[in-house]
Amino acid sequence: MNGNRKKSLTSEGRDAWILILPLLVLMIVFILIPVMSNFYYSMTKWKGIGTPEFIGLRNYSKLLTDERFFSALKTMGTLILYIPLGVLLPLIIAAILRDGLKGWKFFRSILFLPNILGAVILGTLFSVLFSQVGPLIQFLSSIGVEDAVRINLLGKSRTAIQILSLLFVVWLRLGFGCIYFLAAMGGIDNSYYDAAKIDGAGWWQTFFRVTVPSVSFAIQFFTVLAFIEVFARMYSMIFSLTGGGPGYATYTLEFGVYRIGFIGFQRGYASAWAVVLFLFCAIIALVQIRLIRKSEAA
Amino acid sequence: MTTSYRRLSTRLLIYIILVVFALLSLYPIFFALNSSLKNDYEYTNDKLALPSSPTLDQYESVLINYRMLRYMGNTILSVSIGTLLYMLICSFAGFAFGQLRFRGRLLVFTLVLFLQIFPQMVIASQVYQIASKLGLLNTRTGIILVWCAYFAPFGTYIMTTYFVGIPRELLEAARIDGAGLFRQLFSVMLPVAKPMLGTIGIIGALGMWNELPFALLFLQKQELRTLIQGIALMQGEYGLTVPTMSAAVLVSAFIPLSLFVVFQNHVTMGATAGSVKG
Amino acid sequence: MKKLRIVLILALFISLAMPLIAGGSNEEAAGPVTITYWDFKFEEEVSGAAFREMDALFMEDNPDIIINHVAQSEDGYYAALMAAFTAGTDVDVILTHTDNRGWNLSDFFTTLDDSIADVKGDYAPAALAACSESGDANKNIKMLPLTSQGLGIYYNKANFIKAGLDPEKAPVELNEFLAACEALKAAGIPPIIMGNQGSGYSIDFLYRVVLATFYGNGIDGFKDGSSNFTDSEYVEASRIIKSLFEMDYVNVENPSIAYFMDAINLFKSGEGGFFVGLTSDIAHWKDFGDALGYENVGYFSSFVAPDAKYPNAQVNQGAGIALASINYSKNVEAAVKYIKSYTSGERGKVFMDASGAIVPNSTIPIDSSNAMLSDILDKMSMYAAPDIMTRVPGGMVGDFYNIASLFFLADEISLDEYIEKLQKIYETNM
Repeated sequence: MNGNRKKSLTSEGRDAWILILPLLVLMIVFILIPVMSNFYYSMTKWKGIGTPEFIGLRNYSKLLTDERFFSALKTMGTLILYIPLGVLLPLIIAAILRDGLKGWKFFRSILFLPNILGAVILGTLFSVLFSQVGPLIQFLSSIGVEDAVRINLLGKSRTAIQILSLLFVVWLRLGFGCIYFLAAMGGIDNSYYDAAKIDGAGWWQTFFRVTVPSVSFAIQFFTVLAFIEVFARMYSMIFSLTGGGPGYATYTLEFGVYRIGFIGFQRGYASAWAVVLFLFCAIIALVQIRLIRKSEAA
Repeated sequence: MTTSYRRLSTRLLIYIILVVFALLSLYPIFFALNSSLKNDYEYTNDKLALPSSPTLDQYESVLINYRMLRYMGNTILSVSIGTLLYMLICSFAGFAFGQLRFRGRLLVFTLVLFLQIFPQMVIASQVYQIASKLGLLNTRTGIILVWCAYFAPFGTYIMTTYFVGIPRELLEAARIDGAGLFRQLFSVMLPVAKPMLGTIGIIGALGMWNELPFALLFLQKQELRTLIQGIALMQGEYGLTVPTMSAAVLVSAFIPLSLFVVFQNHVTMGATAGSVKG
Repeated sequence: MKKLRIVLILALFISLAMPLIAGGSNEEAAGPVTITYWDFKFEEEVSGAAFREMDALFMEDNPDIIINHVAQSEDGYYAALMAAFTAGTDVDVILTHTDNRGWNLSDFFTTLDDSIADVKGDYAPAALAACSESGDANKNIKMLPLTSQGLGIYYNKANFIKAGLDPEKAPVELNEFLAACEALKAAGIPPIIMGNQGSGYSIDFLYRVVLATFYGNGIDGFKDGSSNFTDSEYVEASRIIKSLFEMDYVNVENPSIAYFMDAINLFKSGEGGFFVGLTSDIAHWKDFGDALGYENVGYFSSFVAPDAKYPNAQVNQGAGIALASINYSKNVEAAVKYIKSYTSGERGKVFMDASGAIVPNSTIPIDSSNAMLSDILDKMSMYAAPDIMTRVPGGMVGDFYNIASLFFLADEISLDEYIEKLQKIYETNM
């Protein structure tokens, strides 16, 4: 059966298709078809029920005059600015923990805890914690900050987006990031570190010359994941933390699709938002593919 | 020859930073626990103080009146079957992409990478229509298949990066021994991939446990509903009070949290092998 | 051999899936008909208990009908309904708001004109009008009203006395209202208790009562664009509400009290002077009366600005929530029987007694010994004015909260910018 090479290759092909069939069927039925249908609906006026009325590109021109759309782009721009911090921080912590700090297993586990709770719950809890009745403001009051109770962190545009970014892009990903990078660093040959030591390299030098290059694939992968989460995994957190506000300070494309299509009965118009989101997702996917090709070539 | 970071002050600083982050992770859970032991008025009057006379009323109300106990059973059943199926799908496909050579490999894999990205909101209502045509609404099968469809592309991606890193000699050797496809898979490949399987299992299970939009649309029967869905239903028209909500949150997080405490080493070790690049 | 593999893998796949189908299949009962009722309030503690009792009573009287009462989440409820109707999902009865959110779906509602002919007189005309697609109490009735919803301002008489105010005189004129706020503030009592984080319910409620006094029936114009946010009436109302914030008459924590519920609890615990509440559901006469003592709670429809043309106006939605029967259902007849019984008589009374909601049906005797309730009912029937939130396009409510929080709570835009933004989103949604 495993006789000649060619035959084994074709049977390998059949085996492969059998193995990916379940995934392929599920993906096509439940993701690809629904995603594609957005292209059609984006050219219709449709409240989500009844017959869609074809209106060509009118939804797209509406998009260009919609304040919410530009606010959403701006919000996502801000969120993206936090991604470097969200990658670097777990990387550094992982590097520190790797050096065998006492109690590192404990910290590693604790940092992962938030991931278990899920974004809806975290958003709700933090909307209380950062509020004027939350512990942060009470602490500020107790150390004598005047009018601390008037500091409304989630209620002001500037602070709301910063808090959302810090929570979602940095803090929430910290636990997974540490575990992930620690694991990646486990694969680094110790001789590299020994060599660095002999060269008299300091901690930071070692970090940048040995650690970072050795786990560069993991870093890139983690960064791409961060983009995916910012573009496509945030709505529940925004929903429970700020509702997209104040104004549209924390409104994103994904949140807009939900708000306009699901709550606002403008499914056709929301589909135009979804198509724009689709384009961003396509860019992320392309970057990912290049990344993998590069790593496979290496 | 002592490196600078070994100095006591640096060490202390690192510990301080870690403690701060640890507190940030623990405080929300503590806050929920603290609030859940108060009654509504006590919470309204002082949100941060410890409960003066701790009460389990909120838990009783959540577990019995709001039927969270029932939902917990449902969730355990759906998520465990779902996770099992998901792990099979991901490891099958990951093995195919990572170890086997076949025409169209790159194309299909590209599709996987692409489709893993889309937000639920973009597809939810169409998925409902499709599931309705297939007779999958209001069935456990339906929600499990949709969960798998939604979460498996990412799991497959991770499994693929893992399998790519396994030397092909292993597979060739198994073939020479005359192992068929499923023996290659189950007795050679999956044991090797065990730690990574654990990792994607956890990611998938957590995702399903906390998944809301699909569950809300799909499961309209009490004997199928999930915990997170239960919390959404409890909100009613004007929302819940924080003590009740906190109790509900902790009930829904109870199983994942305890599993994590038991298996934390496994969880964290699991990633060890996984992240090594392919 | 190869085929075997394919079969094997398919079998594996299916075997995993098959046993599960059994757990969730929808077996059709041969005997009694089953009415499936989708309800976004069913999991609320008080309403839910009442609904269960009402179902039990109904099934006792109608052994041939089984009620399958299904709780739904309020968030995304109407999107779920759209999906369900498009797919033809088995739903026979739904609970709905009587505003645009419900009317968006009215193609699927049974027209009830003939089937309620016998009991039409029992329903309050204003409530029936709210349940009519054309706003006419005599025709195109597509829902039956479960609550009569209005909004108004409750005040704490005990705190009035503490602040040296006359508890029996409601401060209706704007200057009286402001003076009362000032006195309460001077006595260390937060004048107005609000809860606005996330969804700015309190701001929303205040607008609804105040706008009624400015517009009267002109509120209806928000349905078709003949009334606008740029109207001087709307601008004036906004200016007044904003001034309440600027003069510190609103409890400082209002943007961050996590839930609207929290603000209600604060008022019920005896804090504050005023609370803008509802007449049914929650934050209403019974809720506050039970907590503070009926003798300690006062009510008035709204404060009235000097240039408001309708000083007596009492905002009244006619009906707040209502039941509709779905027209593609196989059991329309049983469904209509059910919703008729639900909104009247014994069953309606169960709901009213439990929740304090006002069920607008004359077969439910209303306890006239309660002075506050009688007063509210009088105002609602004599001076009813429409509710702006049921007139503006349903799609802009979320945006209204976002924009209002930017103006009132974050204080980041001017009144002009605020009005401009509202008008723009209103036009976008038209």
